[in-house]
Parts: sequence; C-alpha cells; structure tokens
Amino acid sequence: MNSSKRGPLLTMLAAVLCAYAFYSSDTFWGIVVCGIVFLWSAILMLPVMDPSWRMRVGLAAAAFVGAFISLWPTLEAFTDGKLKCPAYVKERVTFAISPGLDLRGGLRLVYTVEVEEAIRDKRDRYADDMRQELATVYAFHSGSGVLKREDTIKLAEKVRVAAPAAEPNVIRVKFNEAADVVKIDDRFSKKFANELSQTRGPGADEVSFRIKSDVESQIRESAVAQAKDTVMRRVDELGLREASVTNRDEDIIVEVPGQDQKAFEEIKDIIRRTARLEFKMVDDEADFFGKIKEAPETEAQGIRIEQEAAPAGPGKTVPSHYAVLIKRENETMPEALKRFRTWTETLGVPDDHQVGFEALQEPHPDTQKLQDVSWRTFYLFSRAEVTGDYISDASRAIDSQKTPPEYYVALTFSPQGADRFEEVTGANIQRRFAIILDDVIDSAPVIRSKIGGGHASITMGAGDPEEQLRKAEKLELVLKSGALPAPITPSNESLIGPTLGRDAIGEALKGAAIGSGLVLAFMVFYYRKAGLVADVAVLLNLFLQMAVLASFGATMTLPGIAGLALTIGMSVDANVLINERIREELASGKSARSAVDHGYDRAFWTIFDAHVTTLIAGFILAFTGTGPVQGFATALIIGIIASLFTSIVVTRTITTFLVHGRNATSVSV
Amino acid sequence: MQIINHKTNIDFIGKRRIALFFSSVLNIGIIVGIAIFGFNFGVDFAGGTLVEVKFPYSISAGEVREAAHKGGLPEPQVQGIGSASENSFLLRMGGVTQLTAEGATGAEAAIRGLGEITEFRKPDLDNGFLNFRSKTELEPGKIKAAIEASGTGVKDVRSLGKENDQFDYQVVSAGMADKVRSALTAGLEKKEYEVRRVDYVGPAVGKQLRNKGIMALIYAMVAILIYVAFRFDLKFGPGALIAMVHDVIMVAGYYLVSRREFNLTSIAVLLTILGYSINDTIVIYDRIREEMARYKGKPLPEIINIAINDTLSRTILTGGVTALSLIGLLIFGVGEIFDFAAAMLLGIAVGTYSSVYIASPMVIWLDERQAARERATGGSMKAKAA
Repeated sequence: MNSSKRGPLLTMLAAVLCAYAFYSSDTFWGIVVCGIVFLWSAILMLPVMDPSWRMRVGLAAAAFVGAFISLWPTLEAFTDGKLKCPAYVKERVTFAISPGLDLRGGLRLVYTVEVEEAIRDKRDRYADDMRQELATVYAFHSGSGVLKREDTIKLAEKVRVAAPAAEPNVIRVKFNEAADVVKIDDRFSKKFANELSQTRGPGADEVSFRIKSDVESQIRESAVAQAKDTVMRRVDELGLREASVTNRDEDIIVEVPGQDQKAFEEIKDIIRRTARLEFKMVDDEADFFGKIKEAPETEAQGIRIEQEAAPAGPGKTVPSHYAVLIKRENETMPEALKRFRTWTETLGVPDDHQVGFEALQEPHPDTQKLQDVSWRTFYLFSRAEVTGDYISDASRAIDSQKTPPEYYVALTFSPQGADRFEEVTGANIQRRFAIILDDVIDSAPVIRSKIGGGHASITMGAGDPEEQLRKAEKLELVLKSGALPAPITPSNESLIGPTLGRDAIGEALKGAAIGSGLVLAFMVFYYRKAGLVADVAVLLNLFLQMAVLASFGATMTLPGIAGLALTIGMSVDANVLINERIREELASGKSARSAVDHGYDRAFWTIFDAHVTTLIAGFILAFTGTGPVQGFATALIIGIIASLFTSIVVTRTITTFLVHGRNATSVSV
Repeated sequence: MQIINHKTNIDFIGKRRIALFFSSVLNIGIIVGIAIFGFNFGVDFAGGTLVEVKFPYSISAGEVREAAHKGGLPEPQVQGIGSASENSFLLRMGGVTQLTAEGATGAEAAIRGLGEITEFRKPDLDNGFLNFRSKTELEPGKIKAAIEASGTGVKDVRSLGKENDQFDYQVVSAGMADKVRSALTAGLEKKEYEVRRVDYVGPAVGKQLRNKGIMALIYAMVAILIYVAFRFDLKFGPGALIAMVHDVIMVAGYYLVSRREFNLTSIAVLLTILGYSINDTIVIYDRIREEMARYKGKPLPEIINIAINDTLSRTILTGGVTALSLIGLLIFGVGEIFDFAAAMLLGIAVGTYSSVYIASPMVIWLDERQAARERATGGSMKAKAA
C-alpha cells in the first residue's frame, strides 16, 4: 500500500469508530457525518483519475447523500409513501418542507377584538386627565407633572372621578358638596369638549361625561387596526412567513399553513397574549384589607388575612394587611385566582382603586423545588403610572447570581417612558409599585431611589430553568411585538383546504412535470452527452435546494416555487453557457481537451457574475421583504448557491472524466 | 445539433433607436394605463368577499369553480373547508360591492334616461353608493330596474328627500355575495346549496406590507447597480437597471391589459422576471467586457454588436428552454397558475429582448455622453492653455 492511501484509510477507520460512538449516544447527525466522511475517503482511494478529481467527486457524493437524508421524510410525504423512509430516519430527521396555505391549506382562526376594553382604557385615561385638571382647579396641584399621592388623597376628599365598570364609555364626577359643581366651568368643559359630551346629573352633585359616538367608533377602528398589526408582527416573529392576517369589522382572521396540532397550540397561545404591561402604585396607607374581617366563609375558601410592615414614604412604615388564598389540591393556579377574584369583587373596592394579585411560591417538601402555592393581594391605585406603550425593547437574560440561575426579561423604555418612569419613582420613594403583566402582578418591589436610565425587568417566577426560558422567550416575543390594544377572544376555528384548490394544484404539478420533462429531453437532444450531464446537474440542483429548504423547515408556496423555478432556469442557462462556449472553442479549432478546459474557464466568470448579481438581489429581498417576498428570496438564495455548485463543480467533474479520463479526442456537445 | 450559427452578423445596435422608441412608448403607455385604470387587484390586495357554501351532495372544488365560472364569475377562487366529505367550500372574490367604474358609467346613462338629472355625484366605489339629484320625483322601483338592466345588481334605492324642489336618491349596489350566489345558481346543474356565511375581508397585503415590498425592490436595484458598477464599469449599471424596470413594467402591462387578478402570485412573477432579466443582461455584459478587452480601440457599438451576435445562440436557447418549461403549465394550469405561466412567458420574451435592445444600447449612450463630456472639458482646458 502506498502512502497516499494510508490517510484516507485511517480516516475511514476513524469514521467507523466515531459512527459507533454516535450510534450508542443516539446522535443521528453525527452518524450521518461519519458516513459521509467514510464515503468521501472511499472515493479518494479509487484508482481512477487524479486525486483532485476524486476529491471533487467525493464532495459531490457527500452533498448528494447529505441532501438525500435531509429530504427523505419530505420525499416520502410528497410521493404518498411510495418512497419509503425507515422509521429510524424519520424519527431523527425532524424537519421537512411543508406546503403552504396556498398549496395545502391549514388552520383558519378568527378572533374578535374586545373593543369595549379599548374604550374603557381610553375612558380611564380621560378620567386621569380629569383628576389632574380638577386638582389644578382646587389648586392642589401646580398643573404639570405627576399628581403626588398627597394631592390625590386631598382631591378624593372633595371630589371623586368614578369610572363605572358597567358603562365603559362613561365618567361620573361626584362632588362631596353639591355647590362645588360649578368647579366644572367652561374652561374645564372646553378641554374635553372634543371627545366627551357632558350632562348634569344623575344627582345634583354629579356631572356625567360620555365618550362621543364618533370618537368611540374611531377608538374601535384603531383598536382593530392596531390589534391586526400586533398579531401580524407576532406571527412574523414566530417565523410563520406564509401565514396571512386579515380583518373584517371587529374580527381578525389568521390563516396558518400546515397540519401540525402542536404548532397550532403554540401559535394560538402567543397570538392571544394581551401582553399588557402596567406599572401601578401600591396604596399601603389605606390598609383596605385591615378593615376586612375573617369570616367562616372566607376560611372555607382558604382565605386568610395577614399583616406586614409596609414602607410608606421615606423613613416611615405602616402596618398593612393583605389577603392570601391557598390553592386547593385539585385546583390550578388560574382556577384559584378566579375564585379569589370573585371573592374580592364582593368587597366594594372604590372606583379609583383595584386589587392586584401575585403568585407566592414555596419549596416543594420533597424535591425542594419552588412551586406556586398561593395568591396574595395588593391594594393598588387603578391608575397605570407607566404602561407597556412606553417600552422600546425587551430581551431575555439570565441572572446567574441566583442558584439555580433565573431567567428574566429586561425592558428598555423609550426616552419618553424613561422620563416618566424616573418622575414616578422620584415622587414615590420608599413606597411599593406593582409590575403587572396581563392583570397579574409579577412583582411589587419597593422604590429605593429615583430610577433613571429607563430600565426595568420582569422575573419569570418559580419553575425549572427550561420552563423559565420558554416563558421568557414568549414574553420577549410578545413584548417586542407590542401589546394588543384590547384583549382578543377566539370566535371560530376551522381547517381549510388550499387557496389554489386541490385539483388546480394537481393539474399544475402535471404541467410542471411535462415542462421539466421537455426541457430535460431537449437538452439531451441538443447537446447529446453534454446535455445528459447538464440534466444531472439540474436535477441535483433541485435536489440540493429542496434539501436545504427542508432543513430550514421551510413552507413551500407558489412564490417559493417561483424562486425554485428561476434558479432551475439559471442552472440550465449556466449549462447552456458552458456548452455554447465549448462549441465555440471547438469551432475555433481547439482540441477536445483544451476546448473543454477553456470553455469552462471562460464561462466561469460569466456564470459567477450573473449568479452573484441575482444573489445580491435575493439577499436584499430576504432581509427587507416580508411574507411572500421573503419566501421567494429564501428559495432563490439557496438555489443560486446550489446552482453555482452543480453547474461549475459537478458538471466539470463529469465532463473532465468523459474527456480526460477516457483520453477522448472528440467531445459530444 | 445546432440551431443558431455562431457566426451571425446581425446589426442589433443599428436598430436601437427604433427599439428604444418602441419600448418607451409601450412603457409610458402602461404606466399611464396603470394610473388611469389601475390593476384588477385580487383579494390579497383589495380585500373582498368570502362566501362559505355547503352542498348536500358530493362535489369537488374544481366542479364548484367551473360552475361559478360558467355562471359569470371571472376568476373564482374556490377552496375546500373542513374534511372532503363535508362538501363545504370558501369562495373568495375580489371587491365588496358589485359596483365597478365601468358599471357606474353604465348606471349613470341608465338613470339619465329616466328623467332630468341635475347632479350625478362621483360614484363611491368602496361602499357601492351612487348619489344623484333629480328634477322630478322618480320611482325607486324603476331606478332599480334601470340600473339592473345596465348590469349592476342593486340592493336598495333610498329616497333621501327633497331639497330646493329637487329629489335626492342614493342607490346601494348589491354585494359581491349576491353575485356569487347568482353565478352558482346559474352555473350548477343541481341547484341545491346553502350559503352558510358571508364575510367581507380586508386585504392580506396591507399598505405597510406593500410599501415594505416596494422598498425592498428599490434597495435590491441599488445594490445591483453598485455591484455592476464595481464588476464592470459605471456605465453598465444604469442599463441593467433600466432593462430590469422595463421588464417589470411590461409584465405589469400583462396584468393591466388582460384584467387578470393582480395578487400575491403576480408579485412572485414580477420578482422572478426581475431575476431573469438581471441574469440575461449580465451574461451579455460579460461578453461585451470580454470583447472590449480583446478588441481595444474598436468603437463600442461594433464591439457590442459582436458580443450580442456571439451570445445569440445562448440567448435564444436559454429563452427557448425556459419558455419550453412553461408549456405544461400553460396547457394544464387553471386560474392563478395559468396567469403565472402566461406572465412568465411574456417576461422571458421581454427579458431577452431588453438585454439586447435596451441594456446594451444604454451602455453606448452613456459612453457617448462620457466621451462628449471629456471632449468638452478637454476643449475648455485647451482653451485655457491657449
């Protein structure tokens, strides 16, 4: 044995050993790589042509085998099981090309936007503005900046600005002394006249405001439009390039391609998250729960009243009470919360306050792992000091100081939000504020000092690190895509067939097959053996392209197929270019060998430039485009790279063999 | 076998002025046409009507499509819903009302035939309203009959009252759903079916997405311009770009003239043609570059002619082969897929044409301008020296 064969032989041996190691640890792709290395080395040892040629053949063979394995499950699905894929492979190759909505159909989800919530929200904002305005009228407040807590309390003694839960578009201003009604003068009315209509009553000491109907319909419209945008962004972030989002009236329709139930569940979960983030102040001084007496009924519900020392401004603490509800054995945390909420609703919480809930954890007695066991209350001002609208970015991070490490989501406020956050924290030093996500308190830290810089974070609570990571990922996604302006509820869900129609696709496939057959036949007819080589290259190109698309888990739609068709066309073109060049060289009297070499060399730069120019367009479309444009661009990019490889490396290897290897004096072009 | 001789010597460049004139006229015509008539936007872009129908017997999506087509719907999109045994389908149609620009003109003529109309306001095509004022009192039933005779379905004729002794009327045209219903009834053999739901949907491709797509195209073009200028020469870039724009406009012309639906598939076609156009142009440019290096000193038009003639066999072969691959789709494709193939075929033809007649002559033109500028600056320098 000569030394040139020793290297490949050793590599083969190593590959076998590695493959065994991978097999025992069930690392499928490790085995595949070893197989490819083995094959490549084996080809290197063949007694044909020169080593560099064998190297290239090995490369082509490796690419083919890798592509075939990646594509195996997809091929089985496409051929309706005629091409069997062993279960061993199928279980381990988890990706495949899935046809898109236009080719296979998918799930159609209809959501209704609860516009009432958006109206209520807007109404609450007007109520806030009114409080501010009234404080100015009473000269409790300088008229700029956040209303201080003392001001709010002083104001509440004179007038209450109520936002009734039953009527989402109404604000009632109730004065303690009827004579004070005149405080709502022309100036005050004018300030809100554009959006609100004003009436005296129902009581003599009351003035009612109602959102005007045109303003209301405007709120409705923009809530739906915003909700649609948000859903679209979420769908986009999930990487569902081919999903479609449309709306009609107050409904949002999402159509997701595919048939994968598990994926559908996740999509539904993310689409529905309201992701409403609010920062509200805790009102510990009022000690609302201190006035609630424990009764037999509350005990039966598993509710206890506890006491804690709460900070109440610099250097002060007050005793404050809160309620705790312990989750029952057979109950989930959301169920327990529902029970808790029903109870707190009976307590008569004033309109400008609300009860917030936080989950409490305890270590599991056996495993010592933290788990959610109960809910506790916080008595909050219902006014949201800062909201998620002010968030400019969110990213998940890990706190490795803790054991076990804890995931959290770091928030960055917009400049405006940062100012507001700084102002609010500055006005409430040594008090608690609650970070509320979708109506549940994430945490209620004490403000130690004014917080500048515009950063905050949300912890992921108890749970094992993997679950925390998943939670953090989801939260990051929904916060980044923005909150929904109002919650959405699913109203309809159905599986739909392909938009192009199943029969139309069948016909189109027949047509495409005939077209491709004609092209392949023509190439052989026109270029003889070189045409056959070109056909091999074109088919291999298609094959490689599909394999890479499969490994991306791509969704194949008509635009994607157009991208595929374009690159197949370019691949044919590259072969035409090469063969025409070889013919030219032959016509100028060159020998077969030198005509082939020259033909390839000269065609190379043409092909290269044409491909790279298209590739640039592909990359830009992929990065800046959305939806169908991106689908097209992805297929294009992969196809062009595959086409460069097949038309330059693969065909040249074959042709070189046909001409040099056989010492041919003529070339069949 | 050989179709085209390598030693052709056709004077392509000599005909560049005719070609340029011809292309400019067509391009401007298409742009003006788009501005005036607009595309026949599909549901993807314009929003539309969704009708869910259920049949009490077994029927395929293809049969439903055929029936709707026979009944007078130009391009019905039919999609199965639920399992096949449910025989339920979604029909998607562009547009919410039956009122079109042409329909409104017809309706106006019909109304004017009824009495003296003093004012006929611009028709509200989005909501399907026609508003007009008449000197005499008209009978709503007659108005309805007259407009329906002109080809637009009418849902309601509202009498808006009297003002200055004149009578105001508002005609509400019927929704697309009615059209779908009547088409199905006309086209089906067994006329039993149940309309389960009618939805009006907004466009899937919102303004935002559309703008994003256009920006993506512009960025792509600029990047190509830079690459071509870097790899070839500055004067090559604009030619490639103009050829690209030319081809895209021509294919857009197909959708304009044929009145076929412009939808997401059309976008895919335009993108593909863009790619094809660049590829074709670059191949010829590459040859021009090569010939320029070989025949230094020869005038550029002559070099370009040689380059185009040398690559002619490849140009025709590639164009022909690509066209060949579309034949199957042209024969078997229905609806969107037929449009896809037809527009692609046109795109390939103009793509090939533009590489020869538009992209290459642009190089000459820029070269001449550059030479002229050099002469001018050279001349002034000489003048200074003198």
